[in-house]
Amino acid sequence: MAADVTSRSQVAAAHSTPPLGPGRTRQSWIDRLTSPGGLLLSAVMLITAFPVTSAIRDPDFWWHLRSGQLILQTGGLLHTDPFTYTVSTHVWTMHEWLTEVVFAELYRWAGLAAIVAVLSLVTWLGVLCIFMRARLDRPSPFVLGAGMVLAVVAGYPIWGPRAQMITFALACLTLLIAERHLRHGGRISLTLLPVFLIWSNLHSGFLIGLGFIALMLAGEAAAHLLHLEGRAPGRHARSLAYLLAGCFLVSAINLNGPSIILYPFQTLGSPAQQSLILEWHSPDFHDWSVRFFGLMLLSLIGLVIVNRSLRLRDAALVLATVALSLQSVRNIALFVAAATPVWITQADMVLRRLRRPRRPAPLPPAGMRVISWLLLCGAVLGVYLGSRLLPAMRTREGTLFYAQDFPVCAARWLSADARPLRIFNQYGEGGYLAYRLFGQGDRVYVFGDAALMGDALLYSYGDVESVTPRWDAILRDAGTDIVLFDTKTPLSNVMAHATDWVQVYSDPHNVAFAPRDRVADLGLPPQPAYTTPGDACTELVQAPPSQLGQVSG
Amino acid sequence: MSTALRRSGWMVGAWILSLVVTVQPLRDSDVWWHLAIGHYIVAHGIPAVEPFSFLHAANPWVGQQWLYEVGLARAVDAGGAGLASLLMGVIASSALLIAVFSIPRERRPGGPWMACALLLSALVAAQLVGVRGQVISLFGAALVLNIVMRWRAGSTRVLLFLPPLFAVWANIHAGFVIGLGIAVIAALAAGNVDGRRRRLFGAAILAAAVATLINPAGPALWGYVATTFSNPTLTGLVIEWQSPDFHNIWLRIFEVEAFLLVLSWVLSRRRDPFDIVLAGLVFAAALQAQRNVSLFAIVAAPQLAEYGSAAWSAQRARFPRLRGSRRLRQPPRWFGAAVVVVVAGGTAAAVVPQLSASAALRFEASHEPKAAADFAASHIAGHRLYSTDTWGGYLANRFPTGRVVYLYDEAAVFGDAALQQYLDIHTLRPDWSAVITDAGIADAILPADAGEVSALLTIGWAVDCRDTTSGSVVMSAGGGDRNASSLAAAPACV
Repeated sequence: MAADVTSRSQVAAAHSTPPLGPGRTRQSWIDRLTSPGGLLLSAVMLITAFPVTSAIRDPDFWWHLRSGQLILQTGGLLHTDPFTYTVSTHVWTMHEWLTEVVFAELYRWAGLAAIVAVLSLVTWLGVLCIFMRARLDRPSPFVLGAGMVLAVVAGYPIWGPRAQMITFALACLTLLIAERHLRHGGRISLTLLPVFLIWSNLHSGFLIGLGFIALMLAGEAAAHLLHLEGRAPGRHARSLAYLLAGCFLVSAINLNGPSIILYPFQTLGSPAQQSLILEWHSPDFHDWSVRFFGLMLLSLIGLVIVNRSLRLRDAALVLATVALSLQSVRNIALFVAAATPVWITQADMVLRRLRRPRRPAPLPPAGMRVISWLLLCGAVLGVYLGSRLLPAMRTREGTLFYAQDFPVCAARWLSADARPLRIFNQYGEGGYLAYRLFGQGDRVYVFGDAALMGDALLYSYGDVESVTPRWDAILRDAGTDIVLFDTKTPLSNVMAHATDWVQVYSDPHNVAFAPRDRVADLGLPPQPAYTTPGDACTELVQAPPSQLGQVSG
Repeated sequence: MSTALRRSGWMVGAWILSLVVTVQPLRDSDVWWHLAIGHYIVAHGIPAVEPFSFLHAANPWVGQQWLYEVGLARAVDAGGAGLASLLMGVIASSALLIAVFSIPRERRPGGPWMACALLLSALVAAQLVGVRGQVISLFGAALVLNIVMRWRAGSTRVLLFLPPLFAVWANIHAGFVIGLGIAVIAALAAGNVDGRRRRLFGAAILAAAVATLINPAGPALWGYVATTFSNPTLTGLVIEWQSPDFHNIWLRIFEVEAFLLVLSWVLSRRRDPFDIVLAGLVFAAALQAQRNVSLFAIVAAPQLAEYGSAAWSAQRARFPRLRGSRRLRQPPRWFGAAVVVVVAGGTAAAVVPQLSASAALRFEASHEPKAAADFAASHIAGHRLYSTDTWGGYLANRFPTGRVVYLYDEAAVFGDAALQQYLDIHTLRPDWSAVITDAGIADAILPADAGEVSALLTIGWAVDCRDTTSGSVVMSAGGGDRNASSLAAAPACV
């Protein structure tokens, strides 16, 4: 798409800068790191760790953890759903089995803290891969830093310790390796084979990685057809195509078998998932945190219009990820992964036009620069550890932080009942309830593996949640013993008036109802008093409603 | 055959074909209360306070669309809903035509480019046009765009049209602020225009802004606009004010148009910063609120034609392969006329059946609670009726006297307290039951699958009848067995 001679020559100049060669000395490496630009980038890369670090908020995390524990206990995949009383015969494709096992091992080793630390690190490594891919075009440190900050802010709605971050990081790594291969060739790209072998066992998002490579190759093919400048050597593109085929084949080496390749399409092709699950909704630009994605998108468009020069493989990646992220807010992470280096390159091209070349100022003595670097990075790292990572790692399961987001207190109340119960639950809370109550035989109505649940169950759940006239019949037909739902929801507010149901439990987060005609048979525990000082449920009950949701993680 | 004549042929054909998507039945739920107000104004003049609801509206009535409402009422009285549909479809298609013809004469591309741009924009705007005041604002925006482009091309006389345009527009729809916004952006982006012409343009914008005060509400109209735009409850409640849902295929077309526009800008040699800034701002506005997607279609149509054609020419010059195809021989003049006639015939075949009185009635019966309202008129006349906001407008039209209607989508007049009270019931907040009792409501017309129906059943309301055509029910307090099975057993509304 390079459109005029001036801009094309600029791009060519930018792209023709040789890569770091083996002749570079340790001294020059230190010089670059401790130069003003190096200081800026070091600080920026440490700052990018702030937004990607938090305590666990992903409602799906809990059933992943329990699944991992079950896999370790049984020594194999669970072929049917063990957690629900509604779809227990459905065949379960455990596309994240390896992630779940890793979660379980980390949890056994050091609890939630280890999982938080590892997933934060994995996400940050993804950001680092974006940085390294952007650096291939040798942009100015200022633009590189600004682009990285914009990227992590744009992705803010998505960051957090969750399995999806593994796909984000591996997608960034794939893009980095593929881009390097297209530019320089070499055997380092063979690392993609083990990457995809592991990725396809970690998360079904590996298909995104294959798609990214295919898009880059399609862009290259079009660039060759049109004889555009800035295209990669044909032999590099061809070897990447062979590599893509190899990655596709190794992805099929999976405990779920080759059918794993088709699995992601179940989710994408499910109208129930796309309409009922918030994460699959289009971005809401009234939400301030999404507006930075809008800012990045609009500024990228503006930069491309000004420069009129864009490699076709980059255009293909940006176009695909824009379409995906406008479709579903969860895909903003993919946009950030694919488009950030393009944004940085484009912004750098504009800056080069505007700025006259200046002779670099002499650097202070090396010792002083190293001390400055150590002080700066140490300070930022200290703030990061003190304000983000350690508080997130210290957040424990039974604390108020989790009690106000998950049915911690209600699960504790239910755990006092030895009889197995069939619990109708909020979609996002099924995972936590499965994690806490599976061991005593309780089963939930629904949890976060939407593909396993199936569209029919999701629609039935939606009918109950939105209190359509079928709600009562759906609950009874399923054999529900107890409805445990969030307070102040339409369902709980209607059930409070329903004569056939009786309220058996409440806390500021949850309320439970049982069928009036069976409540005596269920033998449910009495409503707890929650008066123990220091207990999370006592704090939850005693906290003013306005303070709930403000507990830092 | 001259280029201009061929272009006219293409544009006439495209304009006619676009009517297939712009002529629509009374699909917008707001049309009914606008119709009711139109009839009210014809009979009594513009009301000082909200005239249909039994709620106490917090703010005085601002008749900001009174001229549209009177026109709508007159059209429906004269030719039924079909005439209103046809008129508004013609206005929407004409808005696109005027927008495309805002391209300066010397830069106009060939007819196929302009026709394709018009048709693509018609598809993009299709979900947001129909019988609604916003279509008039699209028309106004297209006129302003046309005037601005003529001014930029050198004409100052054209500025004389701005004040009267805004004087009329301010009495039809509050979207006149969009027109002022376009003019202001043009003024700010006019760096290469000489000082005298800029001063004249500034004076014309000022005169246009002053002209908007010539309306029954006077300066209060601006307060109304500010209240509407800044109301978070409104933006949370009304889908049109929410961000686009790109799972909807029609909004995917919007995305495609935006992509094609960016591609055209990148690939064409000459870009006008005004065009890019204007389209960029409108695109951002469309991402914020999907009602602005139709405005994007208006702004994008001329640019897509102009830059698309320029990009194609530039790329043909660069890539010999694109020049490979031989030019087709010009068809004879009669062929073009025949194509236009065929297109007109096909469009008529698609559109005319929608315009009949029976088609309008069928549409009304299937999309609005017509049979339920008939039942209420004959069995519970004078009772206060709770309903959803979207059906409140229809009920206002059916029951314009007696103040039996609850609330409809005129949020700025009802005020935030009334909206919150409505949301207490509609979203079944904890105090929903008390709110409905305190409001003295004992009857309701609701969608049969609404949460309110289940809720009312639990407190002992009975289902009086069920209208399966529109999927609505009539309910009354007391006498119910608190069981959802009574819903299926309810008699048909007759």
